[in-house]
Amino acid sequence: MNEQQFSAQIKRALDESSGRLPYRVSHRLTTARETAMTHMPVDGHGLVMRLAATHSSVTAVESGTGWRFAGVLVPLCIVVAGLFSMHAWDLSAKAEELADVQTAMLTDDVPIDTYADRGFGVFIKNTRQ
Amino acid sequence: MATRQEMSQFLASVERRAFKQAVFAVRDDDVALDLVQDAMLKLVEKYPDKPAAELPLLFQRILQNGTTDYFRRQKVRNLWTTLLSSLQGDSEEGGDRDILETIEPEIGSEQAESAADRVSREQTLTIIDNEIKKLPKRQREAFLMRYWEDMDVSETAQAMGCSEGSVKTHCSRATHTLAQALRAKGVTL
Repeated sequence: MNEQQFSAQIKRALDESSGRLPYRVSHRLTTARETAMTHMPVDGHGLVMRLAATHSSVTAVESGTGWRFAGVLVPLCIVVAGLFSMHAWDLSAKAEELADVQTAMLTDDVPIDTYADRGFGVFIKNTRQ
Repeated sequence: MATRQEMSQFLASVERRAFKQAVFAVRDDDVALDLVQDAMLKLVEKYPDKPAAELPLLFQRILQNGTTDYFRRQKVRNLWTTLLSSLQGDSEEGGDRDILETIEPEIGSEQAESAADRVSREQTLTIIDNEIKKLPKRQREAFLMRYWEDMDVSETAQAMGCSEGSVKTHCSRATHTLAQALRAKGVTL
């Protein structure tokens, strides 16, 4: 008996064996199938998906490249927008800090020792620029 | 794209074989039923737009992934069970066994068959089932997909994620091992 004949015999035995499944098992398999079928999208959705599939097959090459391009471009845009907003926030925080210092100087709220501090002088000089 | 009817017919045609395949792998009827049910749900929910011709391959892939995932989870669970069981006493085994579950319905076509023939045939089928269970995982998968699911070599290779050469090798080894084991047990096909 060669490999093909042997496998055909085994197939027959397996078919017979699977045909003799206990009722409990076959009933549960039927229930599982019916449950699964209730989760299948309805025809309307199927029609939309079919139309989408047809459209995508027409422009398969274009859409494939487009999606790949979008896959790179979108995250890149998000990163750039994030960096830009962080920079804007940083500028506004610095401006507020400077405004607070200047207000304190104008209202003489800054202690006199502060003017003797070299670091404060450098800070004032840098912010003027 | 597969219609509802095609999908339903496909699932009906494949469910028993899928169950047996899962049983060969996990050796537990209830777990096998869960695996088949999960595979059916995934196929229907995730691939309703696929053509009917692609369903067998997809279903096999889903079922295999499900089986692999089960073994991964089982490995983690076994680790905890081993650790905890050393702290607990012996638990009752088979306490929730239902006697009705062991009763199988009579199949009409077999009524004419003599009791001795039937028992003998049942024994042969059981031996074949057991020997298939004993095959190494990859060999068993290749053998069942190739010869029971009637998938060709390239489809089997795609479903198993290996080369066509590997599929041929697995099938050949499985056939020889199976033939040898059955011969040793005096089973003639």
